[in-house]
Amino acid sequence: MAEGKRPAFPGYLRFRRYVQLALVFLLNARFSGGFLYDLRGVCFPALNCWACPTAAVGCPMGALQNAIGDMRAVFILPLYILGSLIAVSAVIGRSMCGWLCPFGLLQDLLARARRRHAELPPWTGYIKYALLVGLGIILPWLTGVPWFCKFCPQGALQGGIFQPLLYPDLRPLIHEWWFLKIGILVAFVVASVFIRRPFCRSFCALGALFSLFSRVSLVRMYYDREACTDCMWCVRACPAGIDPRRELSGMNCVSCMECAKCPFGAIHVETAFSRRVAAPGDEGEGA
Amino acid sequence: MTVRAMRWLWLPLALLGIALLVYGAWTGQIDAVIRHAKTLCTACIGLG
Repeated sequence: MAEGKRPAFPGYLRFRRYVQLALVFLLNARFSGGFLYDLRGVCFPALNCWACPTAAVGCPMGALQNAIGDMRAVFILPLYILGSLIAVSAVIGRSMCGWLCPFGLLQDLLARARRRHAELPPWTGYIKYALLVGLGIILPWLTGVPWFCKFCPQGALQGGIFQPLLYPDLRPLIHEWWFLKIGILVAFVVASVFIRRPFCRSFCALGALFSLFSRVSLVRMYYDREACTDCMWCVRACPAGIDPRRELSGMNCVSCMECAKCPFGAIHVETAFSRRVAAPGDEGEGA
Repeated sequence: MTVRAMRWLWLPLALLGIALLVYGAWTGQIDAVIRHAKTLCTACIGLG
């Protein structure tokens, strides 16, 4: 590479913010009276609460918990929901978190308020798996209640705020749990200013599910150790606050692909068809 | 499984996912998703 010349990166990486913004509107385009479409039977792979008055697609986490709760009465495995999640994540890994999730966008925008951010201890990355198993699977199975939804800050933002705002009849129903949910939302909003993507990294059960497929998905990231100069550009650029040299496509990576804009071309977006793509455990991949 | 074969693990996973999705849709599981989606869970958002 010539000195000072920046290697080319895929042009679509420039449009991530626009894609995120477009998705906020596309996922919430069910306006009463003149709605565009209603696809709430489709489990769109992002955290977009279907309790939102304008939600146009189904939340896979809400659907999964409700289906598990329904299994108490009639044992039917939620194949439709699991199949849609497995199919999407096998192809694009956790890119939904980095590119499509409205709550991810909110955290990205809030993080722009500060230049320096605090680090989370590595063990916090495992909390989301405990939440997936505990609140997303076991408790819905035992009680029939979607427990992850009851704590979900995206539900507080889209459902908890907008439903009582638009429908005054619901306001008398506000009780302690509503304040707890709003408190959780406020905590994550404040935390997102100081820590990059705290919810995605440590608390998102849906992200935990997707992260299981990150390392084996069709689209994945490739780290070229030889091209890397350890300039730390990728570490500063990463919206998830991870070190892409070590945690690329790992459990906390949201596959936003910002690090693929590396000025030295050390990180690339690859597919299984690419000649140099690395599989898990290969030399050369940042894992 | 060799490391090289791991590169293609996405393919059987994607096919499995599509098969589950189609079978689930075929057996009417979309209706259950729509039913839950259209019933506002007020308790989930702290109302009532």
